[in-house]
Amino acid sequence: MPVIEVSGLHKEYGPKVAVDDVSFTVRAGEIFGILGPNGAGKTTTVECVVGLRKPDRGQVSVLGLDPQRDHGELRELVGVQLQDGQLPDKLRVKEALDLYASFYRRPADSGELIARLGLTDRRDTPFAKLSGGQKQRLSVALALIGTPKVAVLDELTTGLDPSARREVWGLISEIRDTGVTVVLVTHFMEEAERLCDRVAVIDNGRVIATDTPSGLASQAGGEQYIRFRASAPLDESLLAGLPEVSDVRRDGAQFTVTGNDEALQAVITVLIRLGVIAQHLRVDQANLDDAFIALTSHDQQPSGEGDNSKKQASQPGGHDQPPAAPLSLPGDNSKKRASRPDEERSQPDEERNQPNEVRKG
Amino acid sequence: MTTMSLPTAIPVPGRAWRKLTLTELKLLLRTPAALFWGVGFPLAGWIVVGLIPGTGKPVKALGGASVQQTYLPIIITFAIVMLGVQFLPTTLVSYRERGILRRMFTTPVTPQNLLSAQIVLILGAQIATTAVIAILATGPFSASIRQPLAFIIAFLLMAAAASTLGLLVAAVSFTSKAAAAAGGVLFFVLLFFSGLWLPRAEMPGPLRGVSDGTPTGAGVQAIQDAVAGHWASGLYFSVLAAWVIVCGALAIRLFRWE
Repeated sequence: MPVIEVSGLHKEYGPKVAVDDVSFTVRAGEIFGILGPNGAGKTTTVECVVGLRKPDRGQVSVLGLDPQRDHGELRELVGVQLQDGQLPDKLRVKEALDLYASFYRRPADSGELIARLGLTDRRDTPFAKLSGGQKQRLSVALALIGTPKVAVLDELTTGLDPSARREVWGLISEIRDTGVTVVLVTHFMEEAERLCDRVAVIDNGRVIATDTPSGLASQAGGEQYIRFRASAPLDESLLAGLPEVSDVRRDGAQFTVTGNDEALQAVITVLIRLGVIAQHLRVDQANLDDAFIALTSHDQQPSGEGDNSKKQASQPGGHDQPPAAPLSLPGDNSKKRASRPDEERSQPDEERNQPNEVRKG
Repeated sequence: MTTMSLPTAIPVPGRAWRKLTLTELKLLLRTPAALFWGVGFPLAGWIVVGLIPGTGKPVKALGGASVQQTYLPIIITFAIVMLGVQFLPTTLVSYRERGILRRMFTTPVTPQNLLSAQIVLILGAQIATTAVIAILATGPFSASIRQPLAFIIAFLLMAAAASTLGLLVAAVSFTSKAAAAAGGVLFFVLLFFSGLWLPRAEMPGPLRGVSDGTPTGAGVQAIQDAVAGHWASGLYFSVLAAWVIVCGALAIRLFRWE
């Protein structure tokens, strides 16, 4: 039985539609990511899930309970870390946990939780004196103090430095390992890619894709980016003509070839035949970043790639995708991805692909 | 933003409420400014007034009351207003601003519990300060309270009026800076009408009429009469009760949890 079921969720604030039509299912024991640009409706969605807001339309069920009707019962079972949730400046770590422990019928041991979150040497530190990472870890601790079955964590690592972010990530994996189902709201690709078992991408109040991070990345093209500097003059049309290659761009001697899994072999074969050496050769995979940009960059689509090209894409096997989550990948049906060059131009190669390498390593 | 949907009230274990109040007490004790201005300063002021020779004797310009009898209710008012109109709203608004009330919605405890804990705590601090002032007045000083029941009722009504006014300030202030500014202005207005700078007995008629309509003016008169040994006119008690009801109703209507 799914832990969380959301179908046809709709919520407006006055004239503004915050959530248009959101449906997804969270399974027991997984880390489920809700991913989307700022203002996409992620926070409103989780606020409806935890019962802070009443949906205008649609069904929400958490652990078989209705967040509105059974709010009291649900609050014992769902731990929540809200975006920007703070504490009084002078409240100390141990005091905060003891206070929140007193709210629940079956609280966890606060000392043990403090140790697990690596805050033992900070137990008597006032909230204001904690570092960003420590504050977030305390926030996670508060979400877990009631021994919840589900933890909802909203924008947990926004504003943290990279090392603090890694600290918090390690923590979330551990939480999942103790059997808690985690719903993670984020706009960080890297975070979703590293942590989440499955991800729902929300944009403009709608779920536009639900899949594993790697599933999403492969839908974004399943392509490789081959970059090299040619040791001798090279006619790019020789590469562009290869069936494995979808795009070639040249900047002086610097080449960027986009193609499928076989493209590298094909390109190297041509280069060897011509006696050209590929210097500084680098191969990058499409990642969640690419998927995310492809999914949410509705403004950057060339004409003809608009709504009429949206289609229900087939999901990679093994994922029982809720039918109400249409997946629209611009240019997904054409292997030569028309939207790619646009993005490449708007985002320098170095910037977009450098983190990818760090990530893989 | 629309208001959060208020969950139906669930019984809160007394344990949680006690813990909340105790924690808020610890936080208050760690806020030296609130303790100094709300407790220490009024007490010190009262001791100074009491130690000056001759302040126990009736003064004609004060309508036959002594300086001690005149300033006892004003100093109590100072403490009540400082805690209820200054400290309470700035604390609550900062809790709202920092998402503390919102976080509480996601736990089995509602922010209403935090609110009531906070009000009880403020009332406790007001009672403690007033009790010490009253004991000093009756013991070493010569302003013994001759009508204790009237004194207690007047004190409680004024404390309630100050706290509900503080809640109203918290309800209409979006930031803790705004709450502190509004509380500060109200503090001086209320203290002025209590007679801190110009005792009520010396106020010209129209000004005194306005003072009668303020919670501090009415409260000071009711306490002063209780100290002198009689019940003030029902008008003053009615004014205090009206402030509690109006501010309380408005605060409940306008208060936002986020």
